Amino acid sequence: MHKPTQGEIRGMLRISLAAIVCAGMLLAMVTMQGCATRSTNVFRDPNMDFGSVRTVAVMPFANFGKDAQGSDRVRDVFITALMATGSIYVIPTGEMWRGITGASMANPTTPAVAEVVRLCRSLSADAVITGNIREYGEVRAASTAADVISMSLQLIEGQTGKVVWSASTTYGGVGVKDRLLGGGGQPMNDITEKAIHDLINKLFE
Amino acid sequence: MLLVTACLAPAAAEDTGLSASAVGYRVAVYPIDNLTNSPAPLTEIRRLMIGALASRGVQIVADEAVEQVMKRHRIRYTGGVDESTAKALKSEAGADGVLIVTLEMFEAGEIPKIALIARLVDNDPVAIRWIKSFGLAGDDKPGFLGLGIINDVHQLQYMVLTQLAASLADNLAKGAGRVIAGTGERTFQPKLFYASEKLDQVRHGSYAVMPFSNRSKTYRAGQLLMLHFIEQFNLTLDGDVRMMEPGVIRGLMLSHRIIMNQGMSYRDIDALGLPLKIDYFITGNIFDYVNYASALTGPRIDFSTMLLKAGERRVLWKSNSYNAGNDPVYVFDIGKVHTADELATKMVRAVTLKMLRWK
Repeated sequence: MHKPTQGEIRGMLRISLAAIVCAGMLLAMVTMQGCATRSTNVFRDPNMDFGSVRTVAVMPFANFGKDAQGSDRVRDVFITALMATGSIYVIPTGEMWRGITGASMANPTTPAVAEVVRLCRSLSADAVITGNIREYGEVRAASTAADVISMSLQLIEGQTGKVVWSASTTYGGVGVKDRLLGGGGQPMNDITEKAIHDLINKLFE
Repeated sequence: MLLVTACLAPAAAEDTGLSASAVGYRVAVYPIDNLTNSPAPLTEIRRLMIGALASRGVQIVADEAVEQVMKRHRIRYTGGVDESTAKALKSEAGADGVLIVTLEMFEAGEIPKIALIARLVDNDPVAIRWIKSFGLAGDDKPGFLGLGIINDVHQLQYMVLTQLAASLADNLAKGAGRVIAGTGERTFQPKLFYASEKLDQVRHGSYAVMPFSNRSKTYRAGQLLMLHFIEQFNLTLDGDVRMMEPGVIRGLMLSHRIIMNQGMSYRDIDALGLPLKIDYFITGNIFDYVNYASALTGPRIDFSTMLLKAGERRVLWKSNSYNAGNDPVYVFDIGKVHTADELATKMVRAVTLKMLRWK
């Protein structure tokens, strides 16, 4: 049997090392790509009968992003997507605002328990949905920019004022592909829809 | 200018005689309602419009008579007509209808752009008889080596006014035009929508389109979109349908001090729907109405639409639509939409057809 020489051993070690480094880089790319694209967290009250929620009021979302209109846009798309499931009816925003005025809410984006109960009674709603827009718009990383949306929603039951469901999601951002090849990321409307569909899927799981 | 005025007469010597119902039909032409938020030659456009209509046999009420009525009744708003104004124009000026012309866009630069939305409202009873929007940009058809580009805004003005005058004269001669078929272009379909199972009942009754809630940076974009929806509803619905004149709704809202900042509440639906016998309300939000977003995309429009049934106070339709001018383009800018007016027409037509023909 041929005994490998020192040079051959060194060569094989070099090839193995190169293979390990490449595999590591590939793993890192996949992981980083995943980090730049999406992450979701969900809370669900196990004692809540979600099938009893048929009518909801979607409150104005709190906006922590740079775009002043971001929360209104996201909320509008969310209402359509939620109604499109066919399972939940959303009270028209004009009627919801009449209820907010009647319930004397100080801050409709973060309603108190008593305010939620009062509002749901006046609107005949089973629950309210509140939300936070943490990021909406362009984010830059070195010489690359892309649109990103990061948001969270809470479902508050109308009779007790308890949070029975909560979830968050992030879509878009600057990924490895964008850093290496440029391109500007995905359009804002597309990632908004994806984020909303992600949250709705989590609601109906 | 004289050449343009002379050229506004019909090119062919065809019979443009009015129908029996339109014989003796006298039209009062309101001052142009400028929604561009920038200066525009409104007097000239109005004068050319009157010339184009008169040359097609349409009887126009004298300017002095219209001005007297407006002065006597202190009419300042020229974007619509309410019932008392319509009655005054009928009894005091002898006008059977009012032509309301809205200037949507006017740019007189290197690539000029102009867009108008005109409607004819009967005075007794107050009802929309005809409505049409038409807009052109100088680079709509650039042709080989850009030889087809139009740099003269007066030429565009003539082309737009000729189209509108011909359409109105055609309506007076032959009655309502044909109902448009199909489902609208695929590119401009709403991206997200909810359709109630009761939507197929929406074929008869009376409709009111409310000004959309304007969240965009464009001046009075909500009113512009409202007019586009009225136009497409008029073209899509046939049979026993009544489209409410926006001026009448505005008059009632002013008299009842109704302000709708965040959309229609159930009380608003009752306050407007019951006295005017309105069965369906169309409303929504507009987030973008940009004539020139970038050299690549051209115009951009983003809006949501809601159809409410007044009696049941229920949402029957909700949709979100967003498009840019270069969306239909695959190669070499073929199919590119150059003006927000044309983009709005295509998008609103797609929403309207989908909504009203849903099964």
